[in-house]
Amino acid sequence: MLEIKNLSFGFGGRKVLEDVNFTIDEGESVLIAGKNGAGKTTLLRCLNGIFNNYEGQILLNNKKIEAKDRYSFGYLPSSLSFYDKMKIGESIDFHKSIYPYFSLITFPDYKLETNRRIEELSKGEKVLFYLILVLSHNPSYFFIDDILHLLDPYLRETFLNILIERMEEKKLSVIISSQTFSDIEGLPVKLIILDKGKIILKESVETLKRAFFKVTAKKIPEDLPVIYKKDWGDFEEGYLYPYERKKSEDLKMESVKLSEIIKSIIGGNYVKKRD
Amino acid sequence: MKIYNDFKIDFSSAVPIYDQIKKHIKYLVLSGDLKENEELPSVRKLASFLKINPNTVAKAYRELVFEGVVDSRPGKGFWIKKRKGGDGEKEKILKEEFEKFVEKAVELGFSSKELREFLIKFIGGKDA
Repeated sequence: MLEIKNLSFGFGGRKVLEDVNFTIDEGESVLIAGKNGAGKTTLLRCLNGIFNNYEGQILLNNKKIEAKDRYSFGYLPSSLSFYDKMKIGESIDFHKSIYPYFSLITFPDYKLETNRRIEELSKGEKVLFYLILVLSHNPSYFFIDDILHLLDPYLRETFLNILIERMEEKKLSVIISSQTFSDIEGLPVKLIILDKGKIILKESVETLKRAFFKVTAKKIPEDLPVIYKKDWGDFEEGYLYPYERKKSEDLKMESVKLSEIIKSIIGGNYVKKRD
Repeated sequence: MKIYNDFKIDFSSAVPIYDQIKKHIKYLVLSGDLKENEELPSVRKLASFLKINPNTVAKAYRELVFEGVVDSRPGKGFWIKKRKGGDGEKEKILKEEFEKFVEKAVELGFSSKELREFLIKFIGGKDA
């Protein structure tokens, strides 16, 4: 289990992360969402030891994290520029020399061409190659920063299948920060939303979906917990949270997808109420 | 394999994904599309097919085993269990569906008499 306790981090005088607390269980998958600049990338960088001068604690299986523990972490950052001059085979050898548990994984859907230079790969192929490279370290926790949008639909599917296979086989925990999640809707079981460096929502997807509704009405009643509203002239559309659905309702209500839930939380009153 | 036909997860539904999987499999058992001793896809395969968390598939399978619909042995996978009776389950699922149907009918303004006539006409029509 990975435990993040009272994590704070700042550049100069500016606080980028403030008192962040959450846990990730073995085999769990977590989606980290939030507006641009909410602190998602900084959080992943702190967790992966790229920023070390944070306040608070990161505990792995109840012990303070040490440098060697990073071998059980895999990190796919949002920009992949390193090793560009290397060939695929060379960068594999390089990783073999660094990571003690390195063992190159292979997939029936995707064949590595070891003689190609990394700079010759398309953006999407690069992402897929790094995915394979990082998973070959045999991590227990895998962090993916907003990068999935670089993959075309075919590579995205391959990527997802590789992830699913590893989650099933090795109880891999996956932590994804992404703005485009329509095709990974079914992956996360937990949602964490950051706003201005603070966690404003931390909830299981199942619980969230049960308490989240979209209501359409001529005029949405004032007493409903509307967190995001759109006025279309003839009618209003609102998102309710938290809301317990009653048997006798004359209002038109429907459940919504995770992507809509996230949009209405980061774009609406839910954030303002907390300011 | 029949199980993949029309098997789609409704991600906007408040019904948890593992529940949707369970329902789908139960319906196929009831309809006879999944037969006794027929093997289910592996957790990984179904998770990849549906693009969902493998833990979710595992949870659905575990509960189906617990409920006596599915059998499993470690390393051997999952298959449909031999059914004894099963009418209670049939009735329960039918009742749930029927409640939804009645609710809709009330919303649409059907009276109890009209609803009865509708049903008789409907069933009669199917039989003929």
